[in-house]
Amino acid sequence: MEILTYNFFQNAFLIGILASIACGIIGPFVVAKRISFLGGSIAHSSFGGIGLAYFLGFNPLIGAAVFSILSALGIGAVSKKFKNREDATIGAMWSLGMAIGLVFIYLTPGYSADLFSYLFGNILMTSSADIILAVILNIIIITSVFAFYRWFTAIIFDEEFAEVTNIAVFPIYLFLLCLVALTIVILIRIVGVILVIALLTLPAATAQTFNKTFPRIILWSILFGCLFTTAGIFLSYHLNLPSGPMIIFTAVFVYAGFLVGNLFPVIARKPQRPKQSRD
Amino acid sequence: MSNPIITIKNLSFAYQRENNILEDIDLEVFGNDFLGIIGPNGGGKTTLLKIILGLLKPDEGDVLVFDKKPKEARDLIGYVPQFLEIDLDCPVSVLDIVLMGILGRKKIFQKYNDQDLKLAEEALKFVDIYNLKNKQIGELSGGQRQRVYIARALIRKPKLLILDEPTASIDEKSEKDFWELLKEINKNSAIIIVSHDIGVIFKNVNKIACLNKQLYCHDATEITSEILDKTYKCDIEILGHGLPHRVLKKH
Repeated sequence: MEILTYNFFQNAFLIGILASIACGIIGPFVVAKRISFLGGSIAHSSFGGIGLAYFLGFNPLIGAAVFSILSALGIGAVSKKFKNREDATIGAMWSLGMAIGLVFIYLTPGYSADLFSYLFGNILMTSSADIILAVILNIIIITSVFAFYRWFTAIIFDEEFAEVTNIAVFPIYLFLLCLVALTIVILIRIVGVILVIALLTLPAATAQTFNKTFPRIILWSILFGCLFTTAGIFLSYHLNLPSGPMIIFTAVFVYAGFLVGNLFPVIARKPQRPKQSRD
Repeated sequence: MSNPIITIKNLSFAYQRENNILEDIDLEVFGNDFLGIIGPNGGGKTTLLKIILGLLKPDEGDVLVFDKKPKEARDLIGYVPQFLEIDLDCPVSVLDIVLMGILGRKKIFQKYNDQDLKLAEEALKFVDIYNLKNKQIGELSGGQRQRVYIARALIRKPKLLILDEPTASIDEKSEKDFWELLKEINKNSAIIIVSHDIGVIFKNVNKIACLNKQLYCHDATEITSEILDKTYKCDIEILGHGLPHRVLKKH
């Protein structure tokens, strides 16, 4: 257990927990609304902000936050204005952000050693500034979900009905996407823009295999997030392999376990859905 | 006679230019009406409902609902959508869903109070599924889910209930109970129901509108096969299915 005595490991575990809280709260909405790939697009487009921050010399996570929110609003607005174009927009934003990031990094003189860590994550490089940023973002996320929880579930369950009962569906949807963007900013430190999508969705997807309501799914998602990040750090330390992929391996392995477990009712009892029409 | 709650005059609507899906529609609905709208697929039934609900804007003509613009009248309307589009995996309980009916009247941070919960209980008991209130939506049968959506509309205490193809995925026994339920609701509220299940609808509504781009409105008792022919443009296949001709002749 000497691993815990190193300062950078302590930081790593701490950001792991902070990230688990954020993605444990937001992930279930992403999974239920089936917008995982919208999340992936926001994550990749944030790379543009990271590149810009390198070029101008400020904290890359600030750049990532600005770009991810802009792309969230962009995708949301385009998919509202041009229905049936959401898919292509997601793809466009995905690549556009990466392209912008690469151009800025090419223009930045010198060698960007830790750039790789923004692409694939390196939880061991977590600084105190990163932790403070993560705490602030968590406070924003928790407060927002506390205020808007029922509105989020309403637009996820039935957008049209929400619309005809005078709920401001579009602004609320955009706001949810902004919270997804902020969550992604925290996750970038841990698994990087390329692997974010797994950590955003897998804790929630795993929790949803044996829970039926949002509050329980959120609780279990946070626990699974903590499990995945912590186990990933230990694996990374003992096997001397990069932390990001170890966290993803753990997450996918556990998720697959629960999926397979669901096939056998003894291990995890999934509610049997009655037949659609006649009974 | 009292004023109509819905007045539609010269309404036309097209999704694409010069390809009208609704043309010159005139319609009046009164406070105690039980109106069935029938017509072939693509005849504009759902489009007409969406205009009444203020989800779509007409290209031409006037629509007044409770003497207001459709969007401003929404608070008096309960809506039961086609339920094919709803995600059964969504992790929400029956009670959560019913309460969504009055969420639009709440402010942020404002919790549901005892009175809201009482309204939900009333609505659930009215449709006879109070015992299922903690179930997740995917655990219910088609007929039970139907009742959840009706309870979600009823918690709003609507003066007009709009149902879009509500009988599509329920079995025969549930369907019979379903019509009884609607008749009960009709005592306090007008009802508009869209369906292509022509046989059953005749027996239960007091007004029929046949919609296929244009709309012909009749008392349920005076419908003739010529009217239907005109609506369906002699589409025998749709007609022959579920519409015994003797029922028509007898009426």
